[in-house]
Parts: sequence; structure tokens; C-alpha cells
Amino acid sequence: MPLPKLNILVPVKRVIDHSVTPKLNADKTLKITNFAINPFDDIAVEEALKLKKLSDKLATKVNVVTITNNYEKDAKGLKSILVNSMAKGADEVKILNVNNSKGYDLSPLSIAKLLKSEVTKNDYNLVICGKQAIDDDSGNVGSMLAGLLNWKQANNCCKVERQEEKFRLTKEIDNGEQVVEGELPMILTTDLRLNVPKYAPLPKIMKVKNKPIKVEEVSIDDIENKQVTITEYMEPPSKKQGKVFTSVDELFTQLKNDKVI
Amino acid sequence: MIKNIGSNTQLKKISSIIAYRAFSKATSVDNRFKCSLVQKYAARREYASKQPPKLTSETYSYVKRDEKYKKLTEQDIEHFRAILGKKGSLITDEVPSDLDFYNEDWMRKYKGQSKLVLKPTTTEQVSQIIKYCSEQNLAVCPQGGNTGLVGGSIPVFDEIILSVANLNKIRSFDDVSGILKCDAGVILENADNYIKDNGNYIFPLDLGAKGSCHVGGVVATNAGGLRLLRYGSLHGSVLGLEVVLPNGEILDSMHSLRKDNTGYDLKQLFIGSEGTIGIITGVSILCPPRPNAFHVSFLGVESYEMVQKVFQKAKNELGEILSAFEFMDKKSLQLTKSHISSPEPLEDEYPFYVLIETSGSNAEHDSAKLETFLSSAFEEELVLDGTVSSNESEAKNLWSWREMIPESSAAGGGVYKYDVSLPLKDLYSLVDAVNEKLEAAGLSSITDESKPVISAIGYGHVGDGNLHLNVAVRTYTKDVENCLEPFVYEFVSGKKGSVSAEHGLGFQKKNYIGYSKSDQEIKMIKQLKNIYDPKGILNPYKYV
Repeated sequence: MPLPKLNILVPVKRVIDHSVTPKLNADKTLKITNFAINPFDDIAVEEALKLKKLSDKLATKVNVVTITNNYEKDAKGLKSILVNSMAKGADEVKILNVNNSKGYDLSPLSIAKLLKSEVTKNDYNLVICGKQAIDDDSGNVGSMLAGLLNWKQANNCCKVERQEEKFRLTKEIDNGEQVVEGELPMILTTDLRLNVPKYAPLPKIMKVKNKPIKVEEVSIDDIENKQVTITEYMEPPSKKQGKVFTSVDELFTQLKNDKVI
Repeated sequence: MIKNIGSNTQLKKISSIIAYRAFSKATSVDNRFKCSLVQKYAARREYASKQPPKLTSETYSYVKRDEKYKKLTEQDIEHFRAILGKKGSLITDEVPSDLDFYNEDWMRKYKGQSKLVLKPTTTEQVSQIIKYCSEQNLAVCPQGGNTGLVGGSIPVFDEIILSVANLNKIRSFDDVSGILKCDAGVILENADNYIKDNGNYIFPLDLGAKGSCHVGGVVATNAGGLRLLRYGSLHGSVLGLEVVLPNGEILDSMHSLRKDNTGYDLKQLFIGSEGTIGIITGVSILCPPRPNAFHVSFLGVESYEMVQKVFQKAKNELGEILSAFEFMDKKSLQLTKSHISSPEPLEDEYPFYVLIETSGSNAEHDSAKLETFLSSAFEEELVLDGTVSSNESEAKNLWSWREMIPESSAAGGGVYKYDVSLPLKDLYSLVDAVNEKLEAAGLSSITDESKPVISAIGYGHVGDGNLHLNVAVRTYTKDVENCLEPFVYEFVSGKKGSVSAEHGLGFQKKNYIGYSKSDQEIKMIKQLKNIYDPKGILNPYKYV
């Protein structure tokens, strides 16, 4: 029996570039100067393309999708991320433009529901996503999507092996590694050790950079999306200046004064 | 259902947890980058500490202490204590290991025997100290951040070390003109951060040691670094200096004028003087506005001729946004590959690689320019393959392939480093010539472990005509040294190059100045030294 055809969806998010320090505006909103693909999603793209390389290339599809509710502002950045994915080898890319919730962040549940309809419409049988986005750190989408689809899920994968029709997955858990097995369809979320993403080759970027990128209009349950909203951002408390004592007695007096001992 | 096959609860995960923590916080991945640098640095310290450096005076036993200098007495120390007043700014040999930090260079190649470190806090104190030393015939070794590569800031015998580390105040910054005035001991990175936060300016010099080197030190050694192509040499950006002369007088020329045609430009004398005719205590420097968009491209190129063509094209088409143009050869990359874990920039190997950085004020404008340049470079078949950074972290990773070469080339055992300037067309021929010579002598082999030399590699700043020739070796031997020297210097001199492009002469190259300067030039340097430092108390046993 021929192996099942792999039809992979990789959802990606554009977030603050992890190499820049986030700053606050005067009105307590985030000031972000540099954006990049969420590093865990980058790993997910790389893993999907690795699976494609190892499997029958013609029978495997890797599609990358990203979601925005502020298309005018984000379009350029999102497109450059998708162009990079195409240059690395993704087959099709798409932007889902949510047209009814401007001004609010999209909740993980809204995103999971959008992805669910993507999956059923296009017959995907494997979703690989980052275990969390480094901006809100919520880490919910993968599990929610698995719940909505009633699919198997393996989270925080650090090794993915395909064995005939089965997948053998090594997961990061609190005190070591856990190995699980399962068949398609399933959801995988990626952890840091899974792979190191390669650079997009320049000749391929040149080739794909003028390809039109599909934008699909979608809408969400706006009331449900607003159940949790962000009210403000704050800087972490700054570290207090240390003090050097010249004698042990001095130290003890200070500790007593501070009611530490 | 997913079946649980078993777990493996070993502690090997710790590293990944640490890495994950760093990754999961948007702010801290930058720290991860720093962490790795710290680790590397620690590793090097550890390696070096197994073999504590030999005394410079033992390694180079032909250098003798000049008896005209007085030996330090208790009385002298008391006098200095009175000048400095505050406790802690004077270090004696009460605890000998306290002095090691100042007596050794960071490569642990040189070691002096100084018994006293003075750390004044004001220019006035520096002046009083030098005046006393001049009267008493005490030799002085001025020191900054101690990050030099040629042993210039390390005493050879018992010279008193005068560290400017406590002269560390920013004096003023004008956010309209971009003129920064600061003490000599301000750490380069602190100065850069200060002007970044106060008006978004950038220090016109950047180098790997920016976290420890001093503003005064980089001026005294005329350091080159990574931004030279864009912002020019310090001879252009330094507007004025405050210098304590060898007799204790203070020369104050802390100007903030861009134009000043009134007689001799005296400050130029101290830029690159390496502390031989004065101690720089204050610097006034013109800082350009900080670019906020950086792009990095890494390209594979077929030959050195093509590297030059790409450079020419980059200059023409990228114009004002071109901020770095670095090249490296195949062997440099091969050595680096075994040393760092980040993914390779390109899938296949090429004879030469080029790293191009652009920086400007408008990301869209810059990336459009870079794209046009790259696509036409491909069409004209100047480059064979390449990649371009899509965000800041990728840019940093691509840079690491260039910045890690020096460390990688030493990883096989050791490295002979030559930092030379050559006319662009002859730049790489030196590497070929050295490799040929080493092979002809039967000393070099990449695979044969019994040969002392692994290979000679070349990389550097094409933009500035500056080649770093590194000869990676398994062990240091006299044969190799004799094969390389004076061959390299003769070669450079024959092509009218300079034997020290940016590292200076210091102690290491003190005998080779003749390869780059004419007799007349050397004579004038000596005359100047004699006029201003007739007793020769400042930084003796070095190049003058």
C-alpha cells in the first residue's frame, strides 16, 4: 500500500524580532521597530520542508499561511515572510485577512477556528506549528486546533521521524524526553532543538519575489475574540543597585533593618 | 490514539531548557547571543590559564632593562598615594595577583613586571603623576582597556602602569552637532550607548572589543574596525584631544570645531602614537547619526578578481548606504564551520565569500537598492550564490561567520596573525604566496597531523585594503616562524603596503617599522619623541 500523501499546513506569525529589545510608547503601548517570523514557526517551516525532502516530493505539499486583522499595515512584512518561505521551498502561501476585528489582538481561539476551516477546506492531514509565539507566549493555538478537529497532537517536538504510515515523535517534557507514536492526521508543535532553520537562497528569492500572494477575506466571532483584551504594557521593575559592605556586622545590621532575618 | 512508547528522563535537557528560556522571551535572545560570547571568552581564559604567559623579558631576552630609569621606592609610592588621595585607585604588589590583570594582555602573550598601578580620576592627577615621574626618571606604561593585539599596553620590565580606567566621565554631548566630549577611560560601548540614548547617534568606530576597550585607547592606537569604510579613520572624526605631555604639562585642544585652519594640527600627532609622546585624557569626537535599518547579504564568488568586481559594483550601486564589505576565502569558512553551530549561509562551497552590509535611515529604500544590486549581480554572473538577511537576528548570524574567523583559526592549536594593508589588486596574492612557500618547505597540510601548519587563510576588509593573514598552526615552531618572517614583511613592503594596518606596532612589530616607513620618516618620529620626551619615560622598549 502506498504511503499516505502528506498535505502539510504551517501557520506562521509575524512577531517582534527576538534580537531587539521591546520599548514602550508614552501611552503604554508596545513600540516595535523590527519584526520577524516567530522563531518557533521558522522551525516549523524548516521541519515541513525537511519532511518533504525525505518523502515523495511530488506527492507532498507544504503550504504556509499567516493571519492578520490589520492588512494595510502588515501586508509588506507578511509578504516578505511568505516570500522567504516560498524561496525555501513552500508550495503555496496565503494571507488570511480578518476584516471584522480591527484594533484588537486576535485570540488563540479565533486563530484556531480560522485554521480549522483552512484544514477542512483543503484536506490537510498534518499541521506543524510553533509551540508558542514569542510575543504573547500563550502557546494555545496548536492544542486548541487539535481539540477543534479532534485530532492527535504531539507538542514540543524535538525530533520527528516518519516510519511507514506512522510518525515517531520525541517530545521535550519537564524532566527529559518522551517518545510517542501516531498516525496521520495530527498536529505537531515544534520546540527549539528540532532543527536550525536555513537561510533562504538568494537566487530563489529573486525568482519568487514578484509572484502574487493570495489574500483571502475571512471573518471571526468578534464578541468571543474580545473576551480577553490587553489593557497596558509595563516595563519590568529595574534591578536595584547592589551595596558593598565592609564588615559582617554591617551586613547583619542591614539585614535586620530590612527584616530579612 | 497516540501511543506513549517511553520516556527518557536524563538531565541532558538542561541546555535546551536554558536555550528555550532565552528564546521564549522576546527580550532575552539578545542575551543568548551575549551568553555565548561570554562562554567563549571564559573558555579561552581557561585554556590560557593552563599555560600562564612567560615574562616578556624572558621570551625576548635580547631586550634589556635600561638602567637610566630609577627603580620604584617606598617614597615614590607614598608620593603617588598623596596625589591620588582616595583609597583603591592605587594597586601595589601587596597582593601580587591584583597586578596580573594589568601586567598581562588578554591574549596572555605578554607579561610585564610592574609593581605599581595608578588609576587617577582627574587629568590634574595624571599631570602631577607624570611630572613627578619625569623628575624622578620613572618609566611609565600608559594603559587603556588592555585589549591590544601587539603588546603595546603591557610593560616590559618594571614600568609604572598608568591606567585611565577611572577617568570615565562623559563630559558633554551636543545632540545638534553630534559632538561628544568624554574622558579617555570611557568604555567604547558605554559611549556608544550614551549617544544612542541621547539623540540617536553612533560612535564612528566599532570593533569586537567594544565592551572593554576605551575611547582614549582606540584614539591612541588609531584603531580601524568595522565602520571605517563608512565613517573614515579617527584622523578625520576626532576633533580635539586633551593630552598630558611627558613633562606633566596639559595640552588642551578639546575643540568642537569642524573647521580650524590655524597652524599645525597637533592632535594628529597623538592619534596612533601608542602612548609614546603623551597620555590622552580627553577626547572630542564627531559622531554621525545612527542608521536604523541594517541589511546583510552573504555571497559566494568564484575568484578574487570577481570579489573586486563585486566591490566596484557595490560602491557604485549601493553608494552611501554601503557600510561594510568583507571578504573571506574558502578555508576561512571551512575552519569556522567546525567551530560554530549556526547554519551555513550557503549550501555549496565557493572559492571566496563576500559579506555586504548596508545601513541607512529608510529600510524600504535600502532593501530596494540592495535587491536591485543583487539581482543585477546575479544576471551579470558576478556572484554564484547568496543569501540576504530578512531580520536583525539573521543579520547577526551572518556576521558571526565573519567575526568568528579569528577565533576559529586559533582553535587548531595556535595562529600567527598578520594584519597588513596592500593595494587592492595584490591583496590576496600574499595568502597564495605564503601557502606556496609553506608547502614548498613541507610544513603545511590540512589533513596530515604531523605537519605544524594547518593552512594560511585570508580574510579582511576589502573596503579598506586591509588583509588579515592568519596562519593556523597545530604547534608553534621556529621553522614556521623563520619561513614566515621576514618573508611576509618583505612581500608587503615590496608591494608598497603597510605591515600594520590597524593593530599598531606596540612591542610585537617594533622591529618591523622599517618595512613601512622610510628612514626619513623614522628619523622624524625619533626627533619628535626626543623633543617632547627627552628622558624617554613614556612607554619605553616599544616602537620608538
